[in-house]
Amino acid sequence: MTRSHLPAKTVSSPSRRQILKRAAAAAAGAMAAPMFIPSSALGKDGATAPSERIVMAGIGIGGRGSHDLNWALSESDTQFVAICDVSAPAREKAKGTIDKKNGNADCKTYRDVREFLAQRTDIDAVICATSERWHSMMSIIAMRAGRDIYCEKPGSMFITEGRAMMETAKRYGRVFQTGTQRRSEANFIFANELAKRGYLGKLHTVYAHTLEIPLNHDWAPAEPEPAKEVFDWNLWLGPVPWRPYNKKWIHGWHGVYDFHTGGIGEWGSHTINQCQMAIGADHTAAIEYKFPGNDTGNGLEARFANGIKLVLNGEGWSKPGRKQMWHGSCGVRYEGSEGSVSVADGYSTPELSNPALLSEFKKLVNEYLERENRPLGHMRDFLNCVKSRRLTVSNASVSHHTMSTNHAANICTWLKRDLKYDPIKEEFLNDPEANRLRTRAWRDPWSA
Amino acid sequence: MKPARIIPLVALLLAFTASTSAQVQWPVIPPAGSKERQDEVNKRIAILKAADAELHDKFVACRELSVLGDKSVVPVLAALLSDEKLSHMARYGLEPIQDPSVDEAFRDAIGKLKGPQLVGLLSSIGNRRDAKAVEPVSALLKGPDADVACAAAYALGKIGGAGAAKALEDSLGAAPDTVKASIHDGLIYAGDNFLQAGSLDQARDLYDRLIATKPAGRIYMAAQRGAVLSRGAAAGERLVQLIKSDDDRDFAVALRLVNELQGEALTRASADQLDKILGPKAALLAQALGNRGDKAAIDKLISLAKAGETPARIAAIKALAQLGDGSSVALLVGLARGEGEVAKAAQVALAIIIAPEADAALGAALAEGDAKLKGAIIGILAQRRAPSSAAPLLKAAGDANDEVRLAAISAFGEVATTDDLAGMINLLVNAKSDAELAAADKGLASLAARAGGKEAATAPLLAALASAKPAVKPAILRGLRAAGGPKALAAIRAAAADPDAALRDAGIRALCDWPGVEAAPDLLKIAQTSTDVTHKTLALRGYLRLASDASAPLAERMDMLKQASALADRPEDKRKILGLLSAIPTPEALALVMSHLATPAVKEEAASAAVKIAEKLDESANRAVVEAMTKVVEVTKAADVKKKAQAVLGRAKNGGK
Repeated sequence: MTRSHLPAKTVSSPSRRQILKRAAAAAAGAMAAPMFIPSSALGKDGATAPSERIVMAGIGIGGRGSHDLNWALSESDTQFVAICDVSAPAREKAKGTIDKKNGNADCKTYRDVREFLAQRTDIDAVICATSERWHSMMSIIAMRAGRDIYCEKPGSMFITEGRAMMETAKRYGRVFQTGTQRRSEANFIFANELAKRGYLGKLHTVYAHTLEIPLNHDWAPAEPEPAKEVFDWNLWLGPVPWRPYNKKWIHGWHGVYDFHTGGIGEWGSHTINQCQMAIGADHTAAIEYKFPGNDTGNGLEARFANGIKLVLNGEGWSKPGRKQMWHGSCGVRYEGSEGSVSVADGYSTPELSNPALLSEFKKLVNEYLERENRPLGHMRDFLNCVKSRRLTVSNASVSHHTMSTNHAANICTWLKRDLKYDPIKEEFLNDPEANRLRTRAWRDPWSA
Repeated sequence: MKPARIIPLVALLLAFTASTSAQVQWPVIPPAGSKERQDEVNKRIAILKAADAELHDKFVACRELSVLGDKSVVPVLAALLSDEKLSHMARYGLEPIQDPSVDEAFRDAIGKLKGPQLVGLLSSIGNRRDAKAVEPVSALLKGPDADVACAAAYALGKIGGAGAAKALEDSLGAAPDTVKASIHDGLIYAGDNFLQAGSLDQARDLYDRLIATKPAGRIYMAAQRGAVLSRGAAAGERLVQLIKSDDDRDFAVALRLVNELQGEALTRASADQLDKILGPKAALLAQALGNRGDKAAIDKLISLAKAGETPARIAAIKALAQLGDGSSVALLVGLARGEGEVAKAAQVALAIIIAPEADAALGAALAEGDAKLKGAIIGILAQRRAPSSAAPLLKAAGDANDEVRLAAISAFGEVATTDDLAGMINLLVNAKSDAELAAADKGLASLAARAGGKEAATAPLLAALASAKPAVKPAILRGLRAAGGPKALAAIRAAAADPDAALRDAGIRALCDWPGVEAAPDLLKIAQTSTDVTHKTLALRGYLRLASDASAPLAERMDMLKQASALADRPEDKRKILGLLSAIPTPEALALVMSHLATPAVKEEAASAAVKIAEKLDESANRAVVEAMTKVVEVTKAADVKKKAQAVLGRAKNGGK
């Protein structure tokens, strides 16, 4: 679905009334186009951009971040003006991408996010694509500073951190989107609609692809630390425990307890998130977790208060001779009394126990998009919400609650025992050790 | 991995380091209060006290004590709070322990720490919400260290309560700008804590005073939000003030709250403003009310959809579609009859509104109006795909207007169910043009596929096939192919052998598209014996399609590919076969692939497939692998394939190592 959200670019600063009228005129052109408020209402103390574009910056733009950056750059109502990164080569690379797009050399670079946020009060929204040790904290300090944020997944490292992030978004009325982009893709939307609207009968089990990455507490000897202007190791670590510099961590943080949420969080942040959307559990978490007898959580069964079972499946990749839940990456499967659907990345269409339901594809996807007033495209949804002040499809509450299920599943595998969880109190029942694992102290000076 | 080392605490560390190595997540935790648990705690305390223990071991001890520890670990960890290297990990160990002695230790440390360690300590105090810490933390607000003052402001905000809020407000006047921003944040936190505690009056007064100080936009908007929430039952009144405000920031806060907050009263209060504010704002508010999803806004949205500025009407129409209530259907149908953007918006709304009344109303509307309107309604019904729309669409398929008739036939094919099969066949048989025949053909295949082999679908098609005129029979055969089932297959087989060339062609083509492996022998026979080149090609490709079913047993797929390989002349077919063989990790598949290595047109594909298979074969196939990879290395020009072949070759020559 193609939608134009952009009021015409102007050469001079328009009045508030002009902006409102232009937004209204744009909306009149196509019924599906959302209406937008003027950027002077985004909390920038009157620092309105000459055009009505969203003034943006990137933080921690590496591999995944480059994809996000290009995604946002391709939207005609964004204007990137700055990059913040602890790594000089990464800063320069991202600046090059932005400058090329803008046709100038004006993109400013910053090393320290505190300096960046304090100085660049002209910025409406940021993309954060650091690795996950920073996700919640970066979101918190950015939102507290009055910026909206598209932050890569997983949304948090531990349960109380996710809550702090969610409360910040609410408290400051900021727009937050977690990078679970499959929520805004047609195949996954279709599968979710089949589940939500009863096409599969009464749902009983959902399967979420997780990876088999157990966490470790590895350590490495100190290496000579680069000058902080080149690579700021202390800022790279951010709120997690200090350790001596060793270059292996920079691209080898996966699987390390201080840096990573394991194979469960790595993919579950997508797939459990999808499953919870499908079963109407966006703002809660599973209440029971059964230890599967391994360190990776493969086969872990969880149950929601509505009785639906969630099964983590680390074997989603295609292997000869094995019954497949799905073929490919980031798969989910929903099973109900009347049938099932599986979908993963790269599917031309979802796999259905009743293929005739594919004839409903266009209808269900379109109805979802129109009824929920959402676009296809996760970044687009974020940008729309920045301008309409609406909650995104994968907002802070969704991120926190779906990540709570991820974290609880991790804690279940760490403690090697079954757990019960109260998603209202956000406490494990009768399990002091599990409750302690809900939280970790942030390293100074970082605090929510 | 941690480097191996020997230190004096060998006895303790041998047990301990095991828990820090890769792949071990957490130690087994003995029950609280048990001797074993205390032993585990003591091991870690000993490490923390040992002057010669390595820093990393102390870190791990702190981390594990965060789960294992009890009040006995508090003094040990607290003693490390002033240690530059261990201060954070000491807090890491202490912060999760739910014992008052932790708070006492943190309070005690306030006067002893400074700089970054004190900043970190204040974070932990705030996280634990220790009300007894308000007084000593408040004293830090006016201290010389701005970082500490800012951290104190956040801590006080998180602790919350009247004392903390007062301390924050009292310090605001004299605070430097760098600290003032954090004090404002602290007040926002404190206000939120009042809200969560149900202390609405205190929250309201705090937010109102904060707004009066004209703070920065981010604080102003957060305070305005809190000011609405703190009004409790009167939140709607405050929300209305923000909606009416000339300050865009107020309106933005209001929009966010309309999207975010629950409650019918709030919906009504907001919706009541739709006819009292400027057009653009009304449109934005209507949009937010649609997103909100509360049907309490319906009446006001209907009023706005009827009259007002066009953008606002359009937004209201969309909101009505989102809310999905039958009461708006009559209006939407009426608007859809008109012209321009409003009519277009109403038509889109009718296509997606989830309200059963819409189908009946649209069906009735289809009987009236001009061809243009009928075309629009048919399009809407096709999108809605409601089975109850089949009857009015079938009726419209007999309309006098050609375009209406064609659109109705197409839509009928999308909407109809098995019960409507006779009607579908009738449309096919009585098609008035090639376009209608094509539309009915497509619709029949779609309908038959949805029926999925049910006898109820197959029987009427078989009956129609017997009596239909020749021009229609190919379409019926396609319908039978889509329907599936043994009887359908039998009829298609019979057609594929019919003396009539046109019918035979249609039968063979239907057979070539047959989805199940039961048609494989037929296709093989056609590919082997047909004198028609097109039929031979189609049959071979259909056969390969069936052979590509990954769920079929390997031996069956292998056998089919062997047969196909003997028949394939065209390079594209050979490539397809090689691609399928590459996924079968057996020596037999390797041998078949290698037989294509001498064919110039596909030698590179054969080389690549051979490597893929060889990579997956076990040691028992080493001899065949060595032979095959040696040839591949000789023949291939692709550097990556050659490199992989050499790697496999080396491994095979080395006995699989």
